[in-house]
Amino acid sequence: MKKNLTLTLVLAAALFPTACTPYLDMTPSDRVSEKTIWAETRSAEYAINYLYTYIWDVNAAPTSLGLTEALTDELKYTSYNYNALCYLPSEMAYGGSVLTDTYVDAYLGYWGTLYTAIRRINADLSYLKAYGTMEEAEHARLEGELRFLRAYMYFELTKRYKDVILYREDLGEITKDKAVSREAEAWALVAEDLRFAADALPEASAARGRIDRGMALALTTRAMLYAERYGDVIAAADRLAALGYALEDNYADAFTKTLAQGNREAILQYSFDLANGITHSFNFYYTPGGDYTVNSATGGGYGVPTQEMVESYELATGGFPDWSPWHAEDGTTATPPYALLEPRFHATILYNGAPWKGRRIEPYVGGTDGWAEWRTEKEPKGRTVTGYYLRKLVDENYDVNTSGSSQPFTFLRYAEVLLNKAEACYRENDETGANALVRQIRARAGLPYTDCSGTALWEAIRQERKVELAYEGLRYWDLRRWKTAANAWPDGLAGYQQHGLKITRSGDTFTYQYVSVDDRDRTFPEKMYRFPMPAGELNSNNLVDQYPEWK
Amino acid sequence: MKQSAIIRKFLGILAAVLLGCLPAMAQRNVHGTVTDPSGAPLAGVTVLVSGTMNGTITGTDGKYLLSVPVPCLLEFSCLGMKTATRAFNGELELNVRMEEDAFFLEDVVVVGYGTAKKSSLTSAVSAIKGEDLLKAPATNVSQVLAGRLPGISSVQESGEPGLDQASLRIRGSVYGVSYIVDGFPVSSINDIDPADIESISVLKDGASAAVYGLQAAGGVLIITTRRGGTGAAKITYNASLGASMNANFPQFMNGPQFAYYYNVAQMMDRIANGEISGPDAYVPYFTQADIAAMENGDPADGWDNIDYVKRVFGTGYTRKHNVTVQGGGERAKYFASFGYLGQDGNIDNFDYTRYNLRSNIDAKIAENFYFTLGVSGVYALRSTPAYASGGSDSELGYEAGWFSVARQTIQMHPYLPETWDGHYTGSVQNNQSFLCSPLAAIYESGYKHARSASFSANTSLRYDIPRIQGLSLKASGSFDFGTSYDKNLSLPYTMAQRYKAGDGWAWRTRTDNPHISDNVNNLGEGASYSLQLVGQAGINYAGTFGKHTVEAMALAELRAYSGNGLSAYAKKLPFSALPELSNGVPTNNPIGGWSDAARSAGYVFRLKYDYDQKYLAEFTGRYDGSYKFAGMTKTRWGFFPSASLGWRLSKEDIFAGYDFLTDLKLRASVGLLGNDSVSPYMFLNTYSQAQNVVLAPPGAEKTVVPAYYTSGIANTDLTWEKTLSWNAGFDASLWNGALDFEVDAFYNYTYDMLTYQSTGFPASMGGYYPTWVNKNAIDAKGIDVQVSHRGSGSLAGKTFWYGVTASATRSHTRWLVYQDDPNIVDYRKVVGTTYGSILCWQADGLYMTEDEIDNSAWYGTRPNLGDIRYVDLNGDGKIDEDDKGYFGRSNRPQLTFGLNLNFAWNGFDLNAQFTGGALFDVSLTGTYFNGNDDNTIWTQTFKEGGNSPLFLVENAYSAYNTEHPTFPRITLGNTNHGGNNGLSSTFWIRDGKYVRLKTAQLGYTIPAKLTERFGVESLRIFAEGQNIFTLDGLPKGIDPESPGVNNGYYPQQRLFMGGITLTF
Repeated sequence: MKKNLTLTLVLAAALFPTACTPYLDMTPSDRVSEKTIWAETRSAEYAINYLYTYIWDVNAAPTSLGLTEALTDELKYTSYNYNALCYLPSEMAYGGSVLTDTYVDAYLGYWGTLYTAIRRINADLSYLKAYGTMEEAEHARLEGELRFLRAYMYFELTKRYKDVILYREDLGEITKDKAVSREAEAWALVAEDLRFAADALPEASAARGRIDRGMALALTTRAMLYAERYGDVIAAADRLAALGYALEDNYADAFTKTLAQGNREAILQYSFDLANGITHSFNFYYTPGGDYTVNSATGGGYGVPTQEMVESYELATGGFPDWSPWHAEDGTTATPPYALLEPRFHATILYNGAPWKGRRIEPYVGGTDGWAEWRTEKEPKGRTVTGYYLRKLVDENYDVNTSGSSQPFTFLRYAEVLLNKAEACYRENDETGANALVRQIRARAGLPYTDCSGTALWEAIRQERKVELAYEGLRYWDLRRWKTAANAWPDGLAGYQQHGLKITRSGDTFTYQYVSVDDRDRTFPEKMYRFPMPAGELNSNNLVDQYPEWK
Repeated sequence: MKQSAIIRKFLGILAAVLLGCLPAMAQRNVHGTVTDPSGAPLAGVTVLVSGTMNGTITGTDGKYLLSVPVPCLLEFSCLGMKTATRAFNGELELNVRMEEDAFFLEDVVVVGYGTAKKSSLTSAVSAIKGEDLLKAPATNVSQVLAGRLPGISSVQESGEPGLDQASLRIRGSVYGVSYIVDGFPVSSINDIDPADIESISVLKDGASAAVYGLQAAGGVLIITTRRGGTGAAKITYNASLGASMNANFPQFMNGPQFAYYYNVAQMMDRIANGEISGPDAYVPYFTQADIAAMENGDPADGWDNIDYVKRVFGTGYTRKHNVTVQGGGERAKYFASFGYLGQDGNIDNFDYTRYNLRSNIDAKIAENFYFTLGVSGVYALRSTPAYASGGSDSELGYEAGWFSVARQTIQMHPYLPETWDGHYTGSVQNNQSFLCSPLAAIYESGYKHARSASFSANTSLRYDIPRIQGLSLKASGSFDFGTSYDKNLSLPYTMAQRYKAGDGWAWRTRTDNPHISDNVNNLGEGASYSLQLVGQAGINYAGTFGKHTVEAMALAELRAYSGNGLSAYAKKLPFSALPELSNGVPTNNPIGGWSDAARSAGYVFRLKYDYDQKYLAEFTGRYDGSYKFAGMTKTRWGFFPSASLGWRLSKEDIFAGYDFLTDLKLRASVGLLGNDSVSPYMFLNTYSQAQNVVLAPPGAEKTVVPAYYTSGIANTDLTWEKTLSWNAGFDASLWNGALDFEVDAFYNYTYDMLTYQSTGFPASMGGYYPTWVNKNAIDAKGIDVQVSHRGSGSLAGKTFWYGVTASATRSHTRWLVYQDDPNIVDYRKVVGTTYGSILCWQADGLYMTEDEIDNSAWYGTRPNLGDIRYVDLNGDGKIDEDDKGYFGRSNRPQLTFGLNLNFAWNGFDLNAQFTGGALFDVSLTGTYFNGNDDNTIWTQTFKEGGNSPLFLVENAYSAYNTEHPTFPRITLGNTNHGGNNGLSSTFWIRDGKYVRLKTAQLGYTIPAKLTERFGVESLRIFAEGQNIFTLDGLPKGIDPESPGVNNGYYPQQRLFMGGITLTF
């Protein structure tokens, strides 16, 4: 009997302890858990690598969604056929019926994308804190990267929507019904994250190409302008100056040289690798039509600079030329003063006769690159409607017929930091400081400068931002930030049409005719100072309400 | 009681009349009284002189009188009693007291982790004997269960050899059935040789299934294989051969019909588009000369008239062999079986071969120690051309549905000769770059060979503890190893295409095969293995104390599963005759691999008590853990209890006088079941690898970086789904089993269903992250009824036995909670709808006048006469997606029934099984793999320019049939409108009710005295059939059991076989 009992107990013991042991705690073989990812630096960086793609996505305008400059006086989209890239930006610039929550969200707002990024960043932050067993400095660096990324996303969100829903790394806070916070609280979060990042991150030289201290400080100077926290702008700019960044001697080098090639001005730059097929498609969209050797090509010349932008450039010797002869409706055979304009013009805009890939640009009717009439011809296929093509950001070294483009994209550079600081100095009544910075920017372009004050200084700062940072995705947001977008052009974006020069050739004579490339006056409704909250959020979140100006 | 007396009287008269015709061989009269064990007179007992046809039947007073030779043997037999044999030596009176044969009450039924006497069951369990499964020409078990057991519904998706299993559901459940073979779980029962099966039990309610906890929500089917017996070795050999053909398939247009209707359709389209003014202006696409050339029987002129459905679906052949050996002695018993199945499908090159081996050994290895060992092995090879036969697109990947052999067959132009200039012909479809050429697809596209081999073993050791009667310990385990090896060779082939060139026709060739890359020989190979280990240890006790009987069982079970697979692809193989990967070059994605692992643990107990076999109670429970749920919280382990009670009313004194009432038992039960069918690790925050993240970290030289992203939001609260199952019923047996009832009513409430939540989240929560939650709920309610009658009689002096079993199940399943989009209109909400309802428009007949069109809403552009009128449900003046509601019923019958007829006489035996269904819909549109009905070959005439079912065009609205059309306007789909009739609407939904003679078997056993001299114990020859005929209300050729697929499918087969069974 005793033996039997023993046997029973042995049998039972053989199986029952499994309830207590981790027999059922299995490890998946096709996925990794957050514990595995965040246990060591190498794999933690894999997770952060994915988040880097969001910076590109948010700045995807250069390749897919269209340049926001098309909503300003700088750029005209040539086609009337392609919604995302061409038709919609024009319609939005007219302030028409496409200004709905759906369109604005899809083409400018990115509410959902930004919150997806924020959730992933917050999840990563919480896992890092829970499972990150790396040494303290590494831990802080990784947290710095994540907080830089969160600040980046909240910066993008807040500049669009002002009052937004705030989530930090406490995942338990994430809930269906959540109210928005005041704008100042969002900026406080951005400032706090960037302050942490700037302290925790290494300098670029030690960052192995990862997010570094310079980026955190540069983003601070940009974001704090929107927050109107000018002291923070100046402080960050000063800390950044000590890190060794400098203006490139040649303006074009600032955005064409890669960091690897020794670009001292670039701070946050995405690089590509033609040899390994890592390319993007900016050239496909924006290169002059003459670059295409295939007849049926549909790319090229999607967006082209306007006459208004051309006229924003000073003469190389300073001061503006008189453009009135080229505003004549009947046209003129006089050659526009392109050759006399400052170097930044030549680095930014291709014009009739401009040298390009060993040839001369022919943006005239029937030219190699060609001219198309706005809206009459729905698919310009590489032809221009203004007589100009974009040069900045289009790389001259690649054949668009055979490969994608690999010019780097610089999202933060030192010249912007200087201009950010100049604006902050102006706001803080440090006119001396502001003048010095404007002078520094103009000096690189070889332009003279005389110190000025008050409104004239403000005008000088605005002029430099427009010209220096042309087509870098800032002007539309600057005009919103300054609350001048709703003013009449040229101060704002209302009550004007964009123009180009229709060029016809007869023998060696060119006739330049001033033509409008808009069929309506452009306008900017005041409500666009803030974008509408998308319906998807309103339908499911019971604690939010549409912003008052959009009700 | 009255009725039974009438029956007996009738049978008595019948017997007397028949016997009266026989010549008397009287030497002596014998008489007597036959009584039951209590001494009461027994009527209806057959009294026979052994070995002759001389006999009689006892009267109501139990008396008989018979003239017999002296001496002789007399046999006394009747239902419910053991047959008695008495020697007659000339005495005047021979009285017999018969012994009760309570076979039906003493039947032992296999239940979860044990067995139970049928009389003591308190839960809903249906059982069938293995020998009944052999009364059908089935190649696998699942095909034959429908209709034979109440509560089971089955849908057979395909008739393709090797893929012809049926999918089973118990009592309207939305879950699949769990399978247990010889006590251990298996994932499939398709490869079991029906000849190896001793019995099948179906656990239908919560009380019977709760011992399987997390696997039990869909009910449990337990298969027990045959084991050895005592006595000399008995060898049985079974062989059968047969032929198969499509049970049902719609007729498609022949060549001249195609030409005629095509011309009509084109003419009508042109008139509707304003291209021509009227019929007189129409220039026929197919001329009279073309049609004459189709009919002249000479393919050399480029025209022919081929029924490609008939050409492709011919006759298939099936061969089955099975040898079993059974025997044993005091200390050991053995059973062994070897089986072979060979199927040549009725489409050429679709073949299946299977070999089965099984052996079960039971041994007493020492005093009180009992040992069992069961091993089985299966090897199977399924071959097809490089194309699938048909089916839904989701089933077998890329080529399954949309370009299957069945689809190419039904769309093939019937006016094309089979071959032209040495190549199979092909017809081009609109909007498709490929040619349809069923013959090239079958004979020239290459092949797929799917080989699988599995080996399983189970063993147990039981120890009966001495001195404590009824107490035993048992440990057992199983090992289940399976491998597969697939080899798929795809070859380009050349077809001849006929096309219109100007006013005439011309031929050109084209080399293609849409599922290969680069139009060169392609080879893919894949291998996988899986291993499942299960261990059980338990303790059992059974004891009787006076009128109290107690049984107790406790058991622990662990399971571990692992699997691994890989695949590799090569192209540009220089010779199709050398199909090895090393002879080719890698394709774009040359390799793949996966692995999988799963574990579970469970603790089971059962307590059974009965008092005087009158009051029965049973309690069970299982504590089950799943690796799929979080361990730290309480979501991993669940307790699944059940309770059931039984009351045998017939044992009560008040029923003592009603001796016709053999048994009457009331039952009631409640139990909780679980289900964990969700992707594992939803409680973890997992990361997935991002493909092709090519964006560099800022400034880095290296531009392709490894990147992982959070792929799901953990739900640590996620837990199993639960089904609370109620059952109440009664079992009644009258006149010693002459009439049996088994009646159950059930209500199953399933809640906390694992739901993929994808709507209702604001974007701020993180970009619509999908996640799983416990949310939805359904319920199913219904009744199961089985009535059977058994009887015997005498015909021409020989006893005949007959049985009739009728069963029916009604179940209705509906959504109680469903995560509907909060912004959707009420009539599109799923909550409240019957499970499986079809989302479609409501059709309101066909447009017969232009006025009707003017005054109604329509979809897209203005319809034409003869198009379907849809109801504008939301009244917004147009027909669009918002006007769709839930109208149709699922294609699984809510009411299924079966009728089984048995008859045996003088060596002959006959079995017929009818099945049927009602309260369900067949949608003629078929169903796309995404669940949405759409335009299909079955509903749109000349879909993509291909052939159409004859019923669709014959009865269509056309210029020549404007009065009584039953199908919408005939069209090529080239008008501005005309492509919308085939969209999902109530127009295409048909009541699917049907009755089918599912199987029948006729056998004859040659008298033993003829065979014994050859050493053969018995020899039986038989003929059998499956899917013999069907009565339904569907258009001719549409099978009521057809799956919801629109690209054509391998239909269920009508099978006729003949064979022998030899026993030595």
